[in-house]
Amino acid sequence: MLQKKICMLGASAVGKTSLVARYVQGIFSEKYLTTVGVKIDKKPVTVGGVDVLLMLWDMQGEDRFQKVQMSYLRGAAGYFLVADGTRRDTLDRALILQKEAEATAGAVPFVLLLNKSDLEDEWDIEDAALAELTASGWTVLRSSALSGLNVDEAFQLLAQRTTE
Amino acid sequence: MTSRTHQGSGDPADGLNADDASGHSSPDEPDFDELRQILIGPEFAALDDLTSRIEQPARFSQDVARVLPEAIARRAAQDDRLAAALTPTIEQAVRTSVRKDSHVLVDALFPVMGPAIRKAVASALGEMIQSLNRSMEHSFTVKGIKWRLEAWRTGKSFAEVVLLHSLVYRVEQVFLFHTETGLLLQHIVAPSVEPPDADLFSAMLNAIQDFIRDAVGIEAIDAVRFGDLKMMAERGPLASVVGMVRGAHPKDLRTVFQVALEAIHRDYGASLERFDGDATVFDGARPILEECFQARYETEEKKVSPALIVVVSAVALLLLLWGGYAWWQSHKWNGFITRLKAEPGVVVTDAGTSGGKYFVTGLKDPLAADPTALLADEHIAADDVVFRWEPYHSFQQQFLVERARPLLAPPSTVQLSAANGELVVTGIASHAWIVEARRLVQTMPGVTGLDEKGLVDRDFQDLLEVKGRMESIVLKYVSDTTTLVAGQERELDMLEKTLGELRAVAAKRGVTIGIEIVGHTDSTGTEDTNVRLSEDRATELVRMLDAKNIDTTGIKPYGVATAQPLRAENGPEDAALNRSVTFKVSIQEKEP
Repeated sequence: MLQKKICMLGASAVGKTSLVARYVQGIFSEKYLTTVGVKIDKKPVTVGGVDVLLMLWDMQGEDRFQKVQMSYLRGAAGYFLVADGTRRDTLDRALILQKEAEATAGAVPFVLLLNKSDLEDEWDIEDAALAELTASGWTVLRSSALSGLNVDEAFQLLAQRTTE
Repeated sequence: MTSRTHQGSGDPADGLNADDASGHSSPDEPDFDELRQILIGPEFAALDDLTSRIEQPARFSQDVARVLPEAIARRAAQDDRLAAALTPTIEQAVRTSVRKDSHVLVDALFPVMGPAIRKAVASALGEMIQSLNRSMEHSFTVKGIKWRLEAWRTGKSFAEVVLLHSLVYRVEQVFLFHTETGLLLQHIVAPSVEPPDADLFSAMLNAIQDFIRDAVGIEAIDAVRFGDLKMMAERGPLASVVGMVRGAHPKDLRTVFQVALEAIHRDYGASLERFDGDATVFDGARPILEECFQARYETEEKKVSPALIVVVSAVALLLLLWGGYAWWQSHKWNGFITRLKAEPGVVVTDAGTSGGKYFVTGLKDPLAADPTALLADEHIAADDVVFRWEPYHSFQQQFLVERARPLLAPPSTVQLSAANGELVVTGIASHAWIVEARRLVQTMPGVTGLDEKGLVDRDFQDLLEVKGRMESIVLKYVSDTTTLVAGQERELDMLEKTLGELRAVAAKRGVTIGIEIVGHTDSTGTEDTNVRLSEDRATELVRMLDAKNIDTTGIKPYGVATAQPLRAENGPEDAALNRSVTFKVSIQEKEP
């Protein structure tokens, strides 16, 4: 079975942990996030007939007090950039994180998730910005840890990218 | 014409020729060809040779065969790709071979399979025995009872609890993970250890390593202790080995881990660098990791519990006593059976124990010794033995005599014995007894005859004695008369008595007797006169006996005159003796 290390990156409170929790049944307590700065779960998937075990590194969200431990990204086969669709600044943060991630993990596949798509009324990100990113080759998906929108699809997509 | 030569020489030349023919056909063609030959002739030849090498399968394969071993060796040294590429083919080849004829592989593998299986079985058995030994060691101690309670309380097996307590140290798990990604490559667990989720464990461990390094600035964590359990980490540039150790391990355990890690870097360096998430490449590293499985257990030889000693000694003593008793019993029994078999008139056909009792089956002569008497000699209780005898007649000589005695009822003057199957009778017996004995002997089983050479017939002896007395009687007569000389009453009485005795004895002996009364004369007178006189004297005596009512049947009187004188006549005394009557007794056996 292939194993792939996948990281979850993003500003704090964008819903990284909720996305993972929506996707897998973890065994570690969330307190790891605040102590060690990372919580790891695993999820077996099948990509093109090949069994792949995704090791999901849910990394502590970056905020004023805590920087993301970029060393956790070493050896990652892919990562998610997660932003909160209702908070424009989290997207900016994601763009910066992407650059830092690429510096550590190299040019590995990644997917940008605009989370909390269920909160349409509060949506804060204009389509033009997204179109620009898509045009530069990024994969951008709207997701919702609440409704489950695009959650499985996003993981499946990144898993597939990492095995290509 | 030259173009033909080229055509025959090979394809490349052929191509050039064709090009020439189509594009630059000119009258100078032979010259041009010649020039071309001069300029690139040798290259043509080399090219021809090369082409034929490649296009002729035989030559090409020959060339490849020449470089193939080296090519394989070089590529194998470079990385594992060749092995990976060949694996499906080899697997398929093995499968095909097995399908076609499984014996080929079986024969090839046979020499290694035995040792491999033996090793596996021995290791499994060894583990079991070790665990059993440890359990045994602690079973009879106070501590052991406490541990049993603990096992019952915690729901663990007793062996597990013993293991935990008697453990000095043990490497319970070994993880091999990829240093960069924290992905698990291999994980091995000691028997009876509850394995964690190894994937998550190694990933998290790696994260913690990173965290510590980033936060505290230490390059790597060597060890983390959680109570009795210690995590020992050995971090390499490409891979890391982590062991979970329970108990107080020796210092050199770390060296063992280092050696294993070095070996993995040496053997799997290329694979580690290219690692893309496929951990199966590292299956071959398991034996290296298994070297890290080390353990030591307390040996409590010096502290054997007194209770255990008492119990074991008591059991040993009981066993010894029981063994000794059993041996003694069997010794006694065997002695008895040996004696019984030697006993005359006893044939043992089967002997042994059944239903807690001894039994003996066989044949026994009623005259043989009583086996129960032998039992007493061997100190075996008669109640413990069941005899099943079939009666039979033994032909042993002592039994012949014993069996004959009550039948023959010999008089006290007769001794019985046996020799060569014959009954030997010695001494003196009545004729009647002898006759009966002869008859009875014929009916006795096992007796071939009667040896009576040493036996005397008492009645016959009596007969001879009476006969002798009879024949010694001499009755004297007055000269030239049939008148008895006076004063011979005693002789006459004796004659009467002896005659009666003779008849009685003969009857007893069962013989017929003949009595001759022989008359004699002296030498005076004529022969005729003497013949008549001698006959008269004998006849006159018979008449006299008749007159006395004495049975004279069978008595034959006759005279012999001077033919058989009692004494040669040399004087009157001799003549007086010759004037007499004498007696002859003859004995004839009766016709049967």
